[in-house]
Amino acid sequence: MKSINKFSNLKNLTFKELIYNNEVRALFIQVATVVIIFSLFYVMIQNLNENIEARGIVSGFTFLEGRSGFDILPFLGSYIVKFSPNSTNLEVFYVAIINTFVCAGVGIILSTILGLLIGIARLSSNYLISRLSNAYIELFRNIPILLQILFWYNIFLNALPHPKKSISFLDFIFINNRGFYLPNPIPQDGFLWVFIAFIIGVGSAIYLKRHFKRKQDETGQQTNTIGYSLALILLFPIVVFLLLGSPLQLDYAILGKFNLKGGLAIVPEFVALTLALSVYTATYIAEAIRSGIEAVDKGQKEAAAAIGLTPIQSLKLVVLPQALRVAIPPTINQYLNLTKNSSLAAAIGYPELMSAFGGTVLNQVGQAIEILTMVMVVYLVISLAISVLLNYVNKKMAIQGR
Amino acid sequence: MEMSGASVCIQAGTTTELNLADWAGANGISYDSVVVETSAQSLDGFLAGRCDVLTSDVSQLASLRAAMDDPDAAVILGNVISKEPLGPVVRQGDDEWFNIVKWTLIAMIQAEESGVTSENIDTVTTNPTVERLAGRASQTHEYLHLSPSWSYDIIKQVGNYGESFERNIGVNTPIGLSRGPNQLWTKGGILYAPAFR
Repeated sequence: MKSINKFSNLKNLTFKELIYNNEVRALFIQVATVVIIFSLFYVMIQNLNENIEARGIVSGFTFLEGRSGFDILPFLGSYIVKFSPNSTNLEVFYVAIINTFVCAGVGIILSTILGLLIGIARLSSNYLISRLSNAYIELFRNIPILLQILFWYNIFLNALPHPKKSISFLDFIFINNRGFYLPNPIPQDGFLWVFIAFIIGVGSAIYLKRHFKRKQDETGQQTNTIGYSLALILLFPIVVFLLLGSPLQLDYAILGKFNLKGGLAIVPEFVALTLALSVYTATYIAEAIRSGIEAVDKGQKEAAAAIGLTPIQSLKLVVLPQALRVAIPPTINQYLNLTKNSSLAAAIGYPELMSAFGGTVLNQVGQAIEILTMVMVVYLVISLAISVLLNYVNKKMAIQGR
Repeated sequence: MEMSGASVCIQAGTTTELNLADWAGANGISYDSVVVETSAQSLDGFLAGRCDVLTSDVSQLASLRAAMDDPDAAVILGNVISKEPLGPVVRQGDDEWFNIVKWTLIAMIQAEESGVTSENIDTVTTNPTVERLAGRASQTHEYLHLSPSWSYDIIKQVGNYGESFERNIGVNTPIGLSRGPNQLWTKGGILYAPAFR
Protein backbone atom coordinates (compact mmCIF):
# COMPACT_ATOMS: atom_id res chain seq x y z
CA MET A 1 0.00 0.00 0.00
CA LYS A 2 2.84 2.31 0.79
CA SER A 3 4.15 2.40 -2.74
CA ILE A 4 0.84 3.43 -4.21
CA ASN A 5 0.40 6.29 -1.80
CA LYS A 6 4.04 7.22 -1.91
CA PHE A 7 3.51 10.62 -3.51
CA SER A 8 0.03 11.38 -2.23
CA ASN A 9 1.27 13.53 0.60
CA LEU A 10 3.53 15.59 -1.65
CA LYS A 11 0.72 17.89 -2.72
CA ASN A 12 0.91 19.82 0.50
CA LEU A 13 4.65 20.46 0.33
CA THR A 14 6.20 23.78 -0.65
CA PHE A 15 8.60 23.94 -3.59
CA LYS A 16 11.62 23.98 -1.32
CA GLU A 17 10.42 20.97 0.59
CA LEU A 18 9.81 19.26 -2.73
CA ILE A 19 13.44 19.76 -3.79
CA TYR A 20 14.75 18.32 -0.56
CA ASN A 21 12.37 15.36 -0.61
CA ASN A 22 14.33 12.13 -1.08
CA GLU A 23 11.70 10.31 -3.09
CA VAL A 24 11.19 13.19 -5.49
CA ARG A 25 14.90 13.55 -5.91
CA ALA A 26 15.37 9.85 -6.64
CA LEU A 27 12.60 9.96 -9.21
CA PHE A 28 14.11 13.02 -10.84
CA ILE A 29 17.54 11.37 -11.14
CA GLN A 30 16.07 8.24 -12.67
CA VAL A 31 14.03 10.16 -15.23
CA ALA A 32 17.04 12.32 -16.09
CA THR A 33 19.25 9.26 -16.62
CA VAL A 34 16.74 7.66 -18.97
CA VAL A 35 16.31 10.91 -20.92
CA ILE A 36 20.08 11.41 -21.27
CA ILE A 37 20.71 7.84 -22.42
CA PHE A 38 17.89 7.94 -24.94
CA SER A 39 18.93 11.30 -26.33
CA LEU A 40 22.52 10.07 -26.70
CA PHE A 41 21.26 7.08 -28.68
CA TYR A 42 18.98 9.33 -30.69
CA VAL A 43 21.83 11.68 -31.61
CA MET A 44 24.04 8.72 -32.46
CA ILE A 45 21.51 7.11 -34.78
CA GLN A 46 20.64 10.48 -36.33
CA ASN A 47 24.33 11.11 -37.01
CA LEU A 48 24.77 7.65 -38.43
CA ASN A 49 21.88 8.11 -40.86
CA GLU A 50 23.14 11.49 -41.97
CA ASN A 51 26.67 10.21 -42.55
CA ILE A 52 25.44 7.16 -44.42
CA GLU A 53 23.31 9.37 -46.63
CA ALA A 54 26.14 11.85 -47.18
CA ARG A 55 28.39 9.07 -48.43
CA GLY A 56 25.72 7.69 -50.70
CA ILE A 57 25.69 4.27 -49.04
CA VAL A 58 22.55 2.34 -49.78
CA SER A 59 21.43 0.78 -46.54
CA GLY A 60 19.07 -2.13 -46.18
CA PHE A 61 19.18 -5.88 -46.47
CA THR A 62 18.88 -6.30 -50.23
CA PHE A 63 22.52 -7.46 -50.37
CA LEU A 64 21.38 -10.73 -48.78
CA GLU A 65 19.74 -11.75 -52.06
CA GLY A 66 22.83 -10.86 -54.07
CA ARG A 67 25.21 -13.48 -55.46
CA SER A 68 28.07 -14.06 -53.06
CA GLY A 69 30.62 -14.68 -55.81
CA PHE A 70 33.27 -16.28 -53.58
CA ASP A 71 33.96 -19.71 -52.23
CA ILE A 72 34.10 -20.95 -48.64
CA LEU A 73 36.39 -23.54 -47.09
CA PRO A 74 34.43 -26.77 -47.61
CA PHE A 75 33.14 -28.04 -44.28
CA LEU A 76 29.80 -29.14 -42.83
CA GLY A 77 28.05 -25.80 -43.38
CA SER A 78 28.97 -25.73 -47.07
CA TYR A 79 27.98 -29.38 -47.51
CA ILE A 80 24.59 -28.93 -45.86
CA VAL A 81 23.71 -25.70 -47.69
CA LYS A 82 25.36 -27.01 -50.91
CA PHE A 83 27.29 -23.79 -51.19
CA SER A 84 28.86 -22.51 -54.40
CA PRO A 85 29.97 -19.04 -55.58
CA ASN A 86 26.51 -18.74 -57.15
CA SER A 87 24.86 -18.95 -53.73
CA THR A 88 23.48 -15.79 -52.16
CA ASN A 89 24.93 -13.86 -49.25
CA LEU A 90 22.04 -15.14 -47.15
CA GLU A 91 23.28 -18.67 -47.77
CA VAL A 92 26.73 -17.59 -46.57
CA PHE A 93 24.96 -16.54 -43.37
CA TYR A 94 23.43 -20.02 -43.04
CA VAL A 95 26.75 -21.74 -43.75
CA ALA A 96 28.41 -19.53 -41.14
CA ILE A 97 25.75 -20.22 -38.50
CA ILE A 98 25.97 -23.98 -39.07
CA ASN A 99 29.76 -23.88 -38.77
CA THR A 100 29.49 -21.85 -35.56
CA PHE A 101 27.01 -24.32 -34.09
CA VAL A 102 29.06 -27.36 -35.09
CA CYS A 103 32.14 -25.91 -33.44
CA ALA A 104 30.27 -24.79 -30.33
CA GLY A 105 28.38 -28.09 -30.04
CA VAL A 106 31.42 -30.33 -30.35
CA GLY A 107 33.40 -27.95 -28.13
CA ILE A 108 30.75 -28.08 -25.40
CA ILE A 109 30.64 -31.88 -25.40
CA LEU A 110 34.44 -32.26 -25.38
CA SER A 111 35.04 -29.60 -22.74
CA THR A 112 32.38 -31.11 -20.48
CA ILE A 113 33.91 -34.58 -20.61
CA LEU A 114 37.43 -33.25 -20.19
CA GLY A 115 36.41 -30.77 -17.48
CA LEU A 116 34.55 -33.42 -15.50
CA LEU A 117 37.50 -35.83 -15.60
CA ILE A 118 40.08 -33.17 -14.74
CA GLY A 119 37.88 -31.68 -12.02
CA ILE A 120 37.49 -35.05 -10.31
CA ALA A 121 41.15 -35.95 -10.85
CA ARG A 122 42.14 -32.62 -9.31
CA LEU A 123 40.73 -33.85 -5.98
CA SER A 124 42.17 -37.34 -6.29
CA SER A 125 44.07 -38.66 -3.29
CA ASN A 126 46.71 -39.87 -5.75
CA TYR A 127 49.44 -37.24 -5.56
CA LEU A 128 50.58 -37.58 -9.19
CA ILE A 129 47.08 -37.42 -10.67
CA SER A 130 46.02 -34.41 -8.64
CA ARG A 131 49.28 -32.56 -9.37
CA LEU A 132 49.02 -33.30 -13.09
CA SER A 133 45.42 -32.06 -13.26
CA ASN A 134 46.46 -28.97 -11.37
CA ALA A 135 49.29 -28.38 -13.84
CA TYR A 136 46.87 -28.83 -16.74
CA ILE A 137 44.46 -26.28 -15.31
CA GLU A 138 47.13 -23.73 -14.50
CA LEU A 139 48.79 -24.10 -17.88
CA PHE A 140 45.81 -23.86 -20.20
CA ARG A 141 43.77 -21.44 -18.14
CA ASN A 142 46.53 -18.87 -18.06
CA ILE A 143 47.41 -18.72 -21.75
CA PRO A 144 45.25 -16.42 -23.90
CA ILE A 145 42.81 -18.42 -25.97
CA LEU A 146 43.77 -16.73 -29.26
CA LEU A 147 47.35 -17.84 -28.75
CA GLN A 148 46.22 -21.40 -28.07
CA ILE A 149 44.14 -21.48 -31.26
CA LEU A 150 47.13 -20.32 -33.31
CA PHE A 151 49.36 -22.80 -31.48
CA TRP A 152 47.20 -25.83 -32.27
CA TYR A 153 46.66 -24.68 -35.83
CA ASN A 154 50.37 -24.33 -36.49
CA ILE A 155 51.03 -27.68 -34.84
CA PHE A 156 48.62 -29.29 -37.29
CA LEU A 157 50.05 -27.51 -40.31
CA ASN A 158 53.66 -28.18 -39.50
CA ALA A 159 53.68 -31.51 -37.67
CA LEU A 160 51.37 -33.43 -39.98
CA PRO A 161 52.56 -34.62 -43.39
CA HIS A 162 51.67 -33.40 -46.86
CA PRO A 163 48.63 -35.15 -48.45
CA LYS A 164 50.92 -37.27 -50.63
CA LYS A 165 52.49 -38.70 -47.49
CA SER A 166 49.29 -39.01 -45.48
CA ILE A 167 49.31 -41.16 -42.39
CA SER A 168 46.76 -43.84 -43.15
CA PHE A 169 45.07 -46.44 -41.01
CA LEU A 170 44.27 -49.48 -43.19
CA ASP A 171 43.41 -47.11 -46.09
CA PHE A 172 40.35 -46.29 -44.01
CA ILE A 173 41.26 -43.09 -42.18
CA PHE A 174 43.81 -40.63 -43.52
CA ILE A 175 45.53 -37.86 -41.62
CA ASN A 176 47.51 -35.05 -43.23
CA ASN A 177 47.93 -31.31 -42.83
CA ARG A 178 44.80 -30.66 -44.89
CA GLY A 179 42.66 -32.46 -42.36
CA PHE A 180 41.35 -35.78 -41.10
CA TYR A 181 39.68 -37.87 -43.78
CA LEU A 182 37.10 -40.38 -42.63
CA PRO A 183 34.94 -42.60 -44.82
CA ASN A 184 31.77 -40.75 -45.67
CA PRO A 185 28.78 -42.98 -44.83
CA ILE A 186 26.09 -42.81 -47.49
CA PRO A 187 22.85 -44.46 -46.27
CA GLN A 188 21.15 -46.71 -48.81
CA ASP A 189 17.55 -47.94 -48.95
CA GLY A 190 16.56 -49.64 -45.75
CA PHE A 191 19.00 -47.80 -43.50
CA LEU A 192 16.00 -46.18 -41.87
CA TRP A 193 15.16 -49.56 -40.30
CA VAL A 194 18.58 -49.72 -38.65
CA PHE A 195 17.95 -46.28 -37.23
CA ILE A 196 14.51 -47.36 -35.98
CA ALA A 197 16.11 -50.46 -34.44
CA PHE A 198 18.57 -48.20 -32.64
CA ILE A 199 15.76 -46.03 -31.26
CA ILE A 200 13.86 -49.12 -30.10
CA GLY A 201 17.09 -50.41 -28.54
CA VAL A 202 17.66 -47.19 -26.61
CA GLY A 203 14.00 -47.08 -25.56
CA SER A 204 13.94 -50.60 -24.21
CA ALA A 205 17.31 -50.16 -22.50
CA ILE A 206 15.88 -47.18 -20.61
CA TYR A 207 12.76 -49.20 -19.74
CA LEU A 208 14.88 -52.09 -18.53
CA LYS A 209 16.99 -49.79 -16.38
CA ARG A 210 13.85 -48.36 -14.79
CA HIS A 211 12.44 -51.81 -14.23
CA PHE A 212 15.51 -53.00 -12.34
CA LYS A 213 15.68 -49.73 -10.43
CA ARG A 214 12.12 -50.31 -9.25
CA LYS A 215 13.03 -53.87 -8.34
CA GLN A 216 15.98 -52.58 -6.33
CA ASP A 217 13.78 -50.06 -4.55
CA GLU A 218 11.32 -52.80 -3.64
CA THR A 219 13.56 -55.73 -2.83
CA GLY A 220 17.03 -54.22 -2.43
CA GLN A 221 18.31 -56.69 -5.04
CA GLN A 222 20.83 -55.12 -7.41
CA THR A 223 21.12 -56.10 -11.06
CA ASN A 224 23.89 -55.01 -13.37
CA THR A 225 22.20 -53.75 -16.54
CA ILE A 226 25.25 -52.83 -18.62
CA GLY A 227 25.25 -56.12 -20.52
CA TYR A 228 21.55 -55.88 -21.41
CA SER A 229 21.87 -52.23 -22.38
CA LEU A 230 24.83 -52.85 -24.68
CA ALA A 231 23.02 -55.73 -26.35
CA LEU A 232 19.90 -53.65 -26.90
CA ILE A 233 21.60 -50.45 -28.04
CA LEU A 234 24.45 -51.88 -30.13
CA LEU A 235 23.87 -55.53 -30.93
CA PHE A 236 20.21 -55.23 -31.94
CA PRO A 237 20.78 -52.50 -34.61
CA ILE A 238 23.88 -54.35 -35.85
CA VAL A 239 21.90 -57.55 -36.32
CA VAL A 240 19.18 -55.61 -38.17
CA PHE A 241 21.89 -53.95 -40.24
CA LEU A 242 23.41 -57.26 -41.25
CA LEU A 243 20.01 -58.89 -41.90
CA LEU A 244 19.15 -56.08 -44.32
CA GLY A 245 22.41 -56.72 -46.17
CA SER A 246 24.49 -53.77 -44.89
CA PRO A 247 22.52 -50.86 -46.38
CA LEU A 248 25.31 -48.35 -45.93
CA GLN A 249 27.90 -47.44 -48.51
CA LEU A 250 31.18 -45.94 -47.40
CA ASP A 251 32.81 -43.33 -49.58
CA TYR A 252 36.54 -43.59 -48.96
CA ALA A 253 39.02 -40.81 -49.52
CA ILE A 254 41.51 -41.43 -52.32
CA LEU A 255 44.57 -39.45 -53.30
CA GLY A 256 43.99 -37.04 -56.18
CA LYS A 257 46.60 -34.87 -57.83
CA PHE A 258 46.80 -32.32 -55.03
CA ASN A 259 44.47 -33.50 -52.29
CA LEU A 260 42.59 -36.49 -51.04
CA LYS A 261 39.27 -36.70 -52.82
CA GLY A 262 35.97 -37.88 -51.41
CA GLY A 263 35.43 -39.14 -47.90
CA LEU A 264 34.42 -36.94 -45.03
CA ALA A 265 37.11 -34.29 -44.57
CA ILE A 266 37.47 -32.61 -41.19
CA VAL A 267 39.55 -29.51 -41.87
CA PRO A 268 42.47 -28.62 -39.55
CA GLU A 269 40.93 -25.18 -38.92
CA PHE A 270 37.96 -26.87 -37.26
CA VAL A 271 40.09 -29.35 -35.33
CA ALA A 272 42.45 -26.64 -34.07
CA LEU A 273 39.67 -24.25 -33.09
CA THR A 274 37.50 -26.85 -31.38
CA LEU A 275 40.43 -28.46 -29.61
CA ALA A 276 41.76 -25.12 -28.36
CA LEU A 277 38.32 -24.00 -27.17
CA SER A 278 37.64 -27.35 -25.48
CA VAL A 279 40.99 -27.57 -23.75
CA TYR A 280 40.72 -23.97 -22.56
CA THR A 281 37.10 -24.11 -21.44
CA ALA A 282 37.65 -27.50 -19.76
CA THR A 283 39.95 -25.81 -17.24
CA TYR A 284 37.13 -23.55 -16.08
CA ILE A 285 34.63 -26.41 -16.05
CA ALA A 286 37.11 -28.50 -14.03
CA GLU A 287 37.36 -25.70 -11.48
CA ALA A 288 33.56 -25.46 -11.36
CA ILE A 289 33.31 -29.21 -10.77
CA ARG A 290 36.00 -29.04 -8.11
CA SER A 291 34.25 -26.22 -6.28
CA GLY A 292 31.02 -28.22 -6.54
CA ILE A 293 32.60 -31.31 -5.03
CA GLU A 294 34.30 -29.32 -2.30
CA ALA A 295 30.98 -27.69 -1.48
CA VAL A 296 29.56 -31.09 -0.52
CA ASP A 297 29.88 -31.54 3.19
CA LYS A 298 32.61 -33.97 4.26
CA GLY A 299 30.06 -35.78 6.41
CA GLN A 300 28.23 -36.89 3.27
CA LYS A 301 31.24 -38.83 2.04
CA GLU A 302 31.89 -40.26 5.49
CA ALA A 303 28.28 -41.32 5.79
CA ALA A 304 28.44 -42.95 2.34
CA ALA A 305 31.57 -44.84 3.42
CA ALA A 306 29.91 -45.78 6.68
CA ILE A 307 27.01 -47.53 4.95
CA GLY A 308 29.52 -49.48 2.84
CA LEU A 309 29.50 -47.69 -0.49
CA THR A 310 32.70 -47.96 -2.53
CA PRO A 311 34.49 -44.66 -3.39
CA ILE A 312 33.12 -44.84 -6.95
CA GLN A 313 29.58 -45.45 -5.69
CA SER A 314 29.95 -42.69 -3.17
CA LEU A 315 31.05 -40.30 -5.92
CA LYS A 316 28.33 -41.35 -8.32
CA LEU A 317 25.41 -41.66 -5.93
CA VAL A 318 26.15 -39.20 -3.16
CA VAL A 319 28.75 -36.59 -4.03
CA LEU A 320 28.21 -35.76 -7.73
CA PRO A 321 24.43 -35.24 -7.59
CA GLN A 322 24.98 -32.64 -4.88
CA ALA A 323 28.13 -31.22 -6.44
CA LEU A 324 26.46 -30.65 -9.80
CA ARG A 325 23.90 -28.39 -8.16
CA VAL A 326 26.73 -25.98 -7.41
CA ALA A 327 28.76 -26.72 -10.54
CA ILE A 328 26.14 -26.48 -13.27
CA PRO A 329 25.46 -22.71 -13.31
CA PRO A 330 29.15 -21.74 -13.79
CA THR A 331 29.54 -24.58 -16.28
CA ILE A 332 26.71 -23.30 -18.44
CA ASN A 333 28.28 -19.85 -18.30
CA GLN A 334 31.40 -21.48 -19.73
CA TYR A 335 29.35 -22.96 -22.57
CA LEU A 336 28.28 -19.41 -23.31
CA ASN A 337 31.89 -18.23 -23.26
CA LEU A 338 32.96 -21.06 -25.53
CA THR A 339 30.32 -20.14 -28.08
CA LYS A 340 31.34 -16.50 -28.02
CA ASN A 341 35.05 -17.37 -28.17
CA SER A 342 34.42 -19.35 -31.35
CA SER A 343 34.38 -15.98 -33.11
CA LEU A 344 38.17 -15.99 -32.71
CA ALA A 345 38.15 -18.46 -35.62
CA ALA A 346 38.71 -15.47 -37.87
CA ALA A 347 42.38 -15.75 -36.89
CA ILE A 348 42.80 -19.10 -38.59
CA GLY A 349 40.13 -18.85 -41.26
CA TYR A 350 37.54 -21.33 -40.01
CA PRO A 351 34.42 -20.11 -41.84
CA GLU A 352 32.13 -19.40 -38.88
CA LEU A 353 29.81 -16.46 -38.31
CA MET A 354 32.36 -13.76 -37.54
CA SER A 355 34.86 -14.91 -40.13
CA ALA A 356 32.76 -15.86 -43.17
CA PHE A 357 29.82 -13.51 -42.71
CA GLY A 358 31.14 -10.71 -40.47
CA GLY A 359 34.46 -10.79 -42.32
CA THR A 360 34.28 -11.82 -45.96
CA VAL A 361 30.73 -10.73 -46.79
CA LEU A 362 31.24 -7.48 -44.90
CA ASN A 363 34.34 -6.73 -46.94
CA GLN A 364 32.69 -7.65 -50.21
CA VAL A 365 29.43 -5.71 -49.86
CA GLY A 366 30.44 -3.07 -47.30
CA GLN A 367 27.12 -3.06 -45.41
CA ALA A 368 28.89 -2.93 -42.04
CA ILE A 369 25.99 -1.88 -39.85
CA GLU A 370 23.49 -4.38 -41.23
CA ILE A 371 25.93 -7.29 -41.18
CA LEU A 372 27.34 -6.64 -37.72
CA THR A 373 23.82 -6.20 -36.40
CA MET A 374 22.86 -9.61 -37.80
CA VAL A 375 25.96 -11.19 -36.27
CA MET A 376 25.27 -9.57 -32.92
CA VAL A 377 21.66 -10.71 -32.97
CA VAL A 378 22.73 -14.31 -33.58
CA TYR A 379 25.20 -14.28 -30.68
CA LEU A 380 22.60 -12.55 -28.52
CA VAL A 381 19.97 -15.18 -29.34
CA ILE A 382 22.44 -17.97 -28.52
CA SER A 383 23.39 -16.29 -25.24
CA LEU A 384 19.81 -15.65 -24.22
CA ALA A 385 18.84 -19.22 -25.08
CA ILE A 386 21.64 -20.49 -22.86
CA SER A 387 20.50 -18.12 -20.10
CA VAL A 388 16.98 -19.49 -20.31
CA LEU A 389 18.41 -23.01 -20.09
CA LEU A 390 20.50 -21.96 -17.10
CA ASN A 391 17.50 -20.57 -15.27
CA TYR A 392 15.51 -23.71 -16.00
CA VAL A 393 18.30 -25.97 -14.72
CA ASN A 394 18.75 -23.78 -11.67
CA LYS A 395 15.11 -24.05 -10.80
CA LYS A 396 15.12 -27.79 -11.38
CA MET A 397 18.26 -28.35 -9.30
CA ALA A 398 17.35 -26.03 -6.45
CA ILE A 399 17.18 -27.72 -3.08
CA GLN A 400 13.56 -28.61 -2.45
CA GLY A 401 12.27 -27.03 0.74
CA ARG A 402 11.28 -29.79 3.08
CA MET B 1 42.79 -27.32 -65.90
CA GLU B 2 45.94 -28.63 -64.29
CA MET B 3 44.96 -26.86 -61.11
CA SER B 4 41.72 -28.79 -60.56
CA GLY B 5 41.39 -30.18 -57.06
CA ALA B 6 44.04 -27.94 -55.53
CA SER B 7 43.72 -26.08 -52.25
CA VAL B 8 44.09 -22.34 -52.78
CA CYS B 9 45.08 -19.80 -50.11
CA ILE B 10 43.24 -16.48 -50.45
CA GLN B 11 42.94 -13.35 -48.37
CA ALA B 12 39.38 -12.79 -47.15
CA GLY B 13 37.23 -10.03 -48.57
CA THR B 14 39.44 -9.23 -51.56
CA THR B 15 38.58 -8.91 -55.24
CA THR B 16 41.01 -11.81 -55.70
CA GLU B 17 38.54 -14.03 -53.88
CA LEU B 18 35.82 -13.07 -56.37
CA ASN B 19 38.11 -13.26 -59.41
CA LEU B 20 39.22 -16.77 -58.50
CA ALA B 21 35.64 -18.01 -58.12
CA ASP B 22 34.66 -16.42 -61.46
CA TRP B 23 37.67 -17.80 -63.29
CA ALA B 24 37.40 -21.29 -61.81
CA GLY B 25 33.66 -21.38 -62.49
CA ALA B 26 34.13 -20.28 -66.10
CA ASN B 27 36.84 -22.89 -66.68
CA GLY B 28 35.15 -25.72 -64.82
CA ILE B 29 37.94 -25.98 -62.25
CA SER B 30 37.17 -27.22 -58.75
CA TYR B 31 39.26 -26.10 -55.81
CA ASP B 32 39.19 -25.87 -52.01
CA SER B 33 39.49 -22.28 -50.85
CA VAL B 34 41.47 -21.68 -47.68
CA VAL B 35 40.44 -18.17 -46.70
CA VAL B 36 42.60 -16.27 -44.22
CA GLU B 37 42.51 -12.79 -42.77
CA THR B 38 45.82 -11.28 -43.88
CA SER B 39 48.22 -11.79 -46.76
CA ALA B 40 50.97 -12.76 -44.31
CA GLN B 41 48.72 -15.58 -43.09
CA SER B 42 48.11 -16.74 -46.64
CA LEU B 43 51.87 -16.97 -47.12
CA ASP B 44 52.19 -18.91 -43.84
CA GLY B 45 49.52 -21.35 -45.01
CA PHE B 46 51.24 -21.74 -48.36
CA LEU B 47 54.63 -22.34 -46.77
CA ALA B 48 53.23 -24.83 -44.27
CA GLY B 49 51.62 -26.77 -47.11
CA ARG B 50 48.03 -26.02 -46.13
CA CYS B 51 47.42 -24.99 -49.73
CA ASP B 52 49.01 -25.85 -53.06
CA VAL B 53 48.44 -22.46 -54.63
CA LEU B 54 48.48 -18.91 -53.35
CA THR B 55 46.55 -16.31 -55.29
CA SER B 56 46.69 -12.52 -55.17
CA ASP B 57 47.65 -9.54 -57.32
CA VAL B 58 50.81 -10.20 -59.33
CA SER B 59 52.81 -7.48 -57.59
CA GLN B 60 51.61 -8.80 -54.23
CA LEU B 61 52.66 -12.33 -55.20
CA ALA B 62 56.06 -11.03 -56.25
CA SER B 63 56.61 -9.30 -52.92
CA LEU B 64 55.38 -12.34 -50.95
CA ARG B 65 57.70 -14.57 -52.97
CA ALA B 66 60.59 -12.22 -52.21
CA ALA B 67 59.79 -12.60 -48.51
CA MET B 68 60.18 -16.39 -48.66
CA ASP B 69 63.35 -18.02 -47.31
CA ASP B 70 63.81 -19.69 -50.67
CA PRO B 71 62.07 -17.63 -53.37
CA ASP B 72 63.09 -20.13 -56.05
CA ALA B 73 60.93 -22.78 -54.41
CA ALA B 74 57.80 -21.04 -55.72
CA VAL B 75 56.80 -19.99 -59.21
CA ILE B 76 54.44 -17.20 -60.22
CA LEU B 77 52.25 -18.66 -62.95
CA GLY B 78 52.12 -16.77 -66.23
CA ASN B 79 48.40 -16.60 -66.87
CA VAL B 80 46.99 -13.55 -65.16
CA ILE B 81 43.29 -14.08 -64.51
CA SER B 82 42.10 -10.55 -63.82
CA LYS B 83 42.85 -6.88 -64.19
CA GLU B 84 44.00 -5.34 -60.94
CA PRO B 85 45.71 -2.04 -61.77
CA LEU B 86 47.34 -0.46 -58.74
CA GLY B 87 48.28 3.19 -58.45
CA PRO B 88 48.44 6.16 -56.11
CA VAL B 89 45.21 6.84 -54.24
CA VAL B 90 44.06 10.11 -52.67
CA ARG B 91 41.05 11.05 -50.60
CA GLN B 92 38.10 12.34 -52.59
CA GLY B 93 37.32 16.05 -52.46
CA ASP B 94 40.89 17.40 -52.23
CA ASP B 95 41.47 18.41 -55.85
CA GLU B 96 44.68 20.27 -55.24
CA TRP B 97 46.36 17.28 -53.64
CA PHE B 98 44.93 15.01 -56.34
CA ASN B 99 46.51 17.24 -59.01
CA ILE B 100 49.89 17.14 -57.30
CA VAL B 101 49.89 13.34 -57.08
CA LYS B 102 48.60 12.98 -60.65
CA TRP B 103 51.22 15.34 -62.09
CA THR B 104 54.01 13.71 -60.10
CA LEU B 105 53.25 10.46 -61.93
CA ILE B 106 52.93 12.28 -65.28
CA ALA B 107 56.30 13.95 -64.77
CA MET B 108 57.98 10.62 -63.97
CA ILE B 109 56.51 8.87 -67.01
CA GLN B 110 57.27 11.82 -69.32
CA ALA B 111 60.83 11.92 -68.03
CA GLU B 112 61.36 8.30 -68.97
CA GLU B 113 59.83 8.86 -72.38
CA SER B 114 62.08 11.88 -72.96
CA GLY B 115 65.15 10.02 -71.72
CA VAL B 116 65.62 12.23 -68.69
CA THR B 117 67.14 10.46 -65.70
CA SER B 118 68.31 11.50 -62.26
CA GLU B 119 71.85 11.47 -63.57
CA ASN B 120 71.51 13.47 -66.77
CA ILE B 121 68.85 15.96 -65.73
CA ASP B 122 71.45 18.67 -65.01
CA THR B 123 73.02 18.32 -68.42
CA VAL B 124 70.45 17.35 -71.06
CA THR B 125 68.79 20.20 -72.90
CA THR B 126 67.55 18.72 -76.09
CA ASN B 127 64.02 20.01 -76.48
CA PRO B 128 61.38 22.18 -74.82
CA THR B 129 59.74 19.27 -73.00
CA VAL B 130 63.01 18.39 -71.33
CA GLU B 131 63.54 22.03 -70.47
CA ARG B 132 60.15 22.08 -68.79
CA LEU B 133 60.84 18.84 -66.91
CA ALA B 134 64.06 20.30 -65.63
CA GLY B 135 62.03 23.17 -64.22
CA ARG B 136 63.01 25.82 -66.71
CA ALA B 137 60.56 27.90 -68.75
CA SER B 138 57.54 26.12 -67.32
CA GLN B 139 54.30 27.38 -65.82
CA THR B 140 53.05 24.10 -64.41
CA HIS B 141 54.18 24.98 -60.91
CA GLU B 142 51.78 27.92 -60.88
CA TYR B 143 48.76 25.70 -61.46
CA LEU B 144 49.93 23.18 -58.91
CA HIS B 145 50.99 25.80 -56.35
CA LEU B 146 54.43 24.22 -56.08
CA SER B 147 57.94 25.55 -56.38
CA PRO B 148 59.20 26.02 -60.00
CA SER B 149 61.67 23.17 -59.58
CA TRP B 150 59.07 20.60 -58.51
CA SER B 151 59.54 18.19 -61.42
CA TYR B 152 63.31 18.68 -61.33
CA ASP B 153 63.31 17.78 -57.63
CA ILE B 154 61.34 14.58 -58.21
CA ILE B 155 63.53 13.33 -61.04
CA LYS B 156 66.74 14.39 -59.35
CA GLN B 157 65.85 12.59 -56.16
CA VAL B 158 63.97 9.43 -57.17
CA GLY B 159 64.53 9.32 -60.92
CA ASN B 160 62.06 8.76 -63.74
CA TYR B 161 59.38 6.05 -63.69
CA GLY B 162 61.65 3.39 -65.14
CA GLU B 163 64.48 4.12 -62.73
CA SER B 164 62.13 3.99 -59.76
CA PHE B 165 60.54 0.76 -61.01
CA GLU B 166 63.86 -1.00 -61.59
CA ARG B 167 65.26 0.17 -58.27
CA ASN B 168 62.32 -0.96 -56.16
CA ILE B 169 60.57 -3.90 -57.81
CA GLY B 170 62.40 -4.54 -61.11
CA VAL B 171 64.04 -7.73 -62.36
CA ASN B 172 67.26 -7.06 -60.48
CA THR B 173 65.55 -6.66 -57.13
CA PRO B 174 64.39 -9.51 -54.87
CA ILE B 175 60.83 -8.90 -56.04
CA GLY B 176 61.95 -9.35 -59.64
CA LEU B 177 58.98 -8.00 -61.61
CA SER B 178 59.39 -7.33 -65.32
CA ARG B 179 57.78 -4.20 -66.75
CA GLY B 180 54.99 -6.05 -68.61
CA PRO B 181 52.09 -3.68 -69.28
CA ASN B 182 53.88 -1.13 -67.08
CA GLN B 183 56.13 -0.39 -70.07
CA LEU B 184 55.86 2.93 -71.91
CA TRP B 185 53.31 3.14 -74.73
CA THR B 186 56.19 3.74 -77.12
CA LYS B 187 57.64 0.36 -76.12
CA GLY B 188 54.49 -1.74 -76.22
CA GLY B 189 53.15 -1.03 -72.73
CA ILE B 190 50.20 1.07 -71.64
CA LEU B 191 51.93 3.90 -69.76
CA TYR B 192 51.05 7.20 -71.40
CA ALA B 193 51.62 10.72 -70.14
CA PRO B 194 49.69 13.63 -71.62
CA ALA B 195 51.66 16.60 -72.97
CA PHE B 196 53.80 18.05 -70.21
CA ARG B 197 53.02 21.74 -70.32
